Amino acid sequence: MGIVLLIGFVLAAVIAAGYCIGIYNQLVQIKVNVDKSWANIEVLEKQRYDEIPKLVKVCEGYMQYERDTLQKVIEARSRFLTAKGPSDMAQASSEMGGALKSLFALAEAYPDLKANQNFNQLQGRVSALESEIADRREFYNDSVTINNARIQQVPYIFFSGLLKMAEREMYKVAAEEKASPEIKFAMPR
Amino acid sequence: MAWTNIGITFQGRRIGPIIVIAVLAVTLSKGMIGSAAGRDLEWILDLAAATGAGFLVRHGFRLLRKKNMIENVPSSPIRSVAMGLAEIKGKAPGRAVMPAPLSQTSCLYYRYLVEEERTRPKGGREWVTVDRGESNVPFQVEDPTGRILVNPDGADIMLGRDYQKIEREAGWLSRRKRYSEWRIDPGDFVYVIGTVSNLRDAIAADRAHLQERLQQVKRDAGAMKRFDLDGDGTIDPQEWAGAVAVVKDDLLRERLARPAAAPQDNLCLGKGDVEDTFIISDRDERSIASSFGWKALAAVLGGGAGALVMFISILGRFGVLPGHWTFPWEALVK
Repeated sequence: MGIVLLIGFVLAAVIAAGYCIGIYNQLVQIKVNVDKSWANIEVLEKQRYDEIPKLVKVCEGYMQYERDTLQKVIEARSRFLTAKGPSDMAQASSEMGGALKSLFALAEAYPDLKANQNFNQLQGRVSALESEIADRREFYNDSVTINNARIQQVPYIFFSGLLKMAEREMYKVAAEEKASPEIKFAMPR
Repeated sequence: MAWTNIGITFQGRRIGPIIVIAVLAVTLSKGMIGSAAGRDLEWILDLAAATGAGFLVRHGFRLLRKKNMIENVPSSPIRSVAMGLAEIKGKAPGRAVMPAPLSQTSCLYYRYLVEEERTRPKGGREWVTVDRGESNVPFQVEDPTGRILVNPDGADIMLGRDYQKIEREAGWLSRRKRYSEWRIDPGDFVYVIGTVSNLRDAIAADRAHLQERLQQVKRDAGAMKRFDLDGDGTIDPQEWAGAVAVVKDDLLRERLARPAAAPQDNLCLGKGDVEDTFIISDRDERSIASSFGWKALAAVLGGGAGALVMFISILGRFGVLPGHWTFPWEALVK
C-alpha cells in the first residue's frame, strides 16, 4: 500500500509542478503583454512624431501669421522625445495632441491650406494615428488592469514576488487633453 | 480528435501521439491477450496506456494555457490591432462568399461531418465518421473601428452546430447517415485570438519602389542631365544624393495623393509561427475560457488517474504489488 501512496504522491507532485510552471509562465506572459502594449503605443507615437515635420512644412507656406502655433507643435514634438514612463509620456503626448488640435482648428481659417491635398492627407493620417493611439492606450490600460488584478489573486500572489512583479501605472489622460483647445486667430480673415 | 455533439473541435495533431500509442499497443497485443505469452507482455500495454495518460495530462496543460491566454489577453479594436498575439471580437460582414456543402447556406466559413451508423462487434450501435471537411478560404471580421482578414487554416474552431440531418439512404439494407455542419454566417458574432502578421512588408515595398525609380532615372539621359547641377557631364555623390532626395520626395507626394489604405488592410489574423494559440468561435470569451478550463481539468485529472492505475498495474505484474491489482485487459477486450 505504501508504494501505491508513493506513486500517487509522485504523480500528484508532477501535476502540481506542471500547474506551478503554468502559473509562473502565465505571469511572465502578463508582464510581457504589459510591456508589449506599452511599446505598441510608442510605435504609433513615433509615427505621429515623424509626420509632424511634414505637416509643419506644408502649413508654413500658408500660415505665416501663426508662427506661435507652429512653434508650439514643434516644441511639443521635442518634449515628447525626452518623455519617460507612462505619466511623463501621457503629459508629452497630450501636449502634442493639444498643439495639433489647435493647428487643425486654425487651419479651418485658411481655405487655401484646407484645399491643399498634402495637408488633407497628413491631417487624415495624424487624426487616424491619434485614434489608434487612443485605442492602444485603452489596450495598455486593460493589460495593466489584468496585471494588477492577477498579482493580488490567489494563487498568483505566491509567484508574483518571484518575478518581482509590481502594480503597473495606468496611462491617465491629462486634464488639458480632455479640454477643448483654445484657439486664437492671429490674423483676421 | 472526433468532433463532439456540441460542436467543439480540437486539432488532431495535439493528441495524435495518444492515438498512435493506443493503436500501436492494441495492434501489438491483438490475439495475444488472454494467452500465456500475452499475459507476459501485458505490461507493455500498461506502459503504452501510462504514456498515453501522460500525453493526456500534457494536453490538459496545453488547454489550460489556452484558457489563460484567452483570459489574459485584452481585446483590441481592429483599427489599432498590433502585430503578434491579439484578440478581436466582431462580426462576420454581410457578404457571404460560398455555399456550405450540406445545407447550401451562404456562409464565410464551414465545417462538415458525415457519420454512418454501424453495429459494434460486441453489440450496440455507433456513429463512425465517413467524411469530413472544412473551408480554408480566409474571411473578414469587422467591428465598429474596421475589418481584418482571418485565415482559418490551423485554427481551433469552436462553433455551435448550425445544421444536422439524419437520413437513411435508399435500399432496405442501407445504413443511417448523420450530416452535421458548423458555419460562420454573415452577421454572426466572431471571436478570434491568434497572431496578427503583415500580408506584405510595406517598408520593403517602399524600398523596392525607390530602387525601381532610381533605375529609371539612371536610364533616362534627360533626367540625369537635370541632376548634373555643375554641368560637368558626370553625377558626383553630392548630386546623386540630391537626385535620391528628389525621387523620395516624388514618391512621397505620389503616396499622399493615393487614397490611404486602412492600416489593417495589410494585416491578417492567423496561426503564428511561435505562438500556436489560434481560436475562432461564435461564443463569448467567458464561455470559451470556461470550456477550455473544464476540458483541461478533465484531461489533467483523467490522465493523472490513468497513469496511476497503469503504474500500479505494472508493479502488480512484476510482483511488487499483489497480482490482482493488474489492469484486466483481457476482460476489456472480451
